[in-house]
Amino acid sequence: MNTWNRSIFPIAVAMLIALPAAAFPQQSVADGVRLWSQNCGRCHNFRPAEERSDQDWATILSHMRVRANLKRSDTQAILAFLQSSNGTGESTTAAAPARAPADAFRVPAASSAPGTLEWSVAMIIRRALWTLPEVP
Amino acid sequence: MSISRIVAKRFALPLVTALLLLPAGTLSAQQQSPLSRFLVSGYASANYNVPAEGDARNNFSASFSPIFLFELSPDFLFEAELEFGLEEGGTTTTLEYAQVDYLGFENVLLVAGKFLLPFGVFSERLHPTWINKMPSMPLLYGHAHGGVAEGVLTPILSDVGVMARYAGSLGDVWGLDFSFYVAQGPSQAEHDEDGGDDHAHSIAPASVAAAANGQDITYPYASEIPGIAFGTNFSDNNDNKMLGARLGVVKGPDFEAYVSGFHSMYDDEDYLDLVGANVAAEVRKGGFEFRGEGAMLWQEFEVANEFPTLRSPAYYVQTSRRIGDFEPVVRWSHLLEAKVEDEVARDHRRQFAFGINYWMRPSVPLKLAYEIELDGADRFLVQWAYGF
Repeated sequence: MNTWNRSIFPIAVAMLIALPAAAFPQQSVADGVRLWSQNCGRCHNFRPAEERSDQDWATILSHMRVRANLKRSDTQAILAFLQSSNGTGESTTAAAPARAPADAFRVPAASSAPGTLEWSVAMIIRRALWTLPEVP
Repeated sequence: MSISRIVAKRFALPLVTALLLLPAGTLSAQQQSPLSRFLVSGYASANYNVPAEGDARNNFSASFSPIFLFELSPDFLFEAELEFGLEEGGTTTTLEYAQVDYLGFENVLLVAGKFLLPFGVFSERLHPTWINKMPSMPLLYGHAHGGVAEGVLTPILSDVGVMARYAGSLGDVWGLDFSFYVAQGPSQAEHDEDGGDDHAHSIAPASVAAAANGQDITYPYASEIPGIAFGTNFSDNNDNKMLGARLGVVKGPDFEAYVSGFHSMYDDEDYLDLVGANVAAEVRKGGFEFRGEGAMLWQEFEVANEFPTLRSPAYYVQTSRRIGDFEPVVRWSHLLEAKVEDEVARDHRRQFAFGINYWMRPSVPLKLAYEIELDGADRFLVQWAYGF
């Protein structure tokens, strides 16, 4: 093992240790978007992700898992989505997103059902809006 | 190359990198800390009630329902909801639920303590003031807090016991929602001289409801029918336990349907049956949301050495549509005649309500509604609710 390899190895180990908390699997977040839109709006309006910190969302999602009777993996996916979208920067590798516009959490129009092209475009626009920097 | 330079070159970069990443790495450990997982959530409301006719006065009221969440670990959650309300004579306090949840399984949840019973959907999931789209409850349900609803067919049901829940999938599109519970069960309510009841979670006796409406009752023993108290039986009044279940199917955000029921003996001697059945559905289409629920209670009672059964049906349907920050809502509630065989023990009550909500925030609605009581006095309601 040369000097470079000996240097890069601890870096890789350190990144692997830190990565699970620093970033969410993209598939989990994508599933979370879908599950969030399918489940959370059945009873109440969508709450802005920015309302809560990562820790708060973890506790609230445990509460909501019982109330809505959700599967564990589904709950974790929704949690990953909310934590990656709340703009606290606690658990995201991306730049901290700006405040989510209030409109982003309105109940999606019934005509834009999950899985449709319209729904996908709406979701992409929403995600883009959340990551736009605030105008000073 | 000196030894210090070699050490710096080989170890400094990885060390600095690891230190920079450490905060992110330790975040998950911090989240595991038991003390860091305590949270107060809940909801509150301020209400104004204006009777449109009759001698009743208009009045303000308020309610405050904090929910305490304490996550012992990712697998254990303790949650409790207190309800503070204003009623004549002072402040009322009710423990709506206080339960321990085990969340360690993928598809199964275990709950123990005092919990909301999965009888229908409104009682368990939709009754909080910031979720309920009207400032009052449909005639199917009653609630003492919030100041704008009375008990009718059943109160918001909660009881002490254990519950298991299963969440599964039926193919790629449909979901399965099943709950089964064993609880203390209801008891016979002792009503006071005014004919009312002294607890928030009780059903008024059929004779009292009939008398309040001033309508003709054909069943001669209507006054002998006892009231039923739910969730007040903290030392069980009999050996019987309440058994109940709910089965539901869910299709994305567009459709869900549930059937639920329970059975219990409610008297001290374990002799009188109480059976409840409920069907609920919700559909979202074309921007509209449609909700409906129907329920029936079969209550056995003793009179003149016989054991007849009182049948009490009720239902409601509601539709709403979000238009910007506004949301018009229309609801029809019908408490049908309660009968013993073919004799009327309690007359029907019909209510048409319409209103509009202004959503200041996704969890802060200002609700205005007018209730037309086809068999009683109309009223105008204003409610400012806040979910936090």
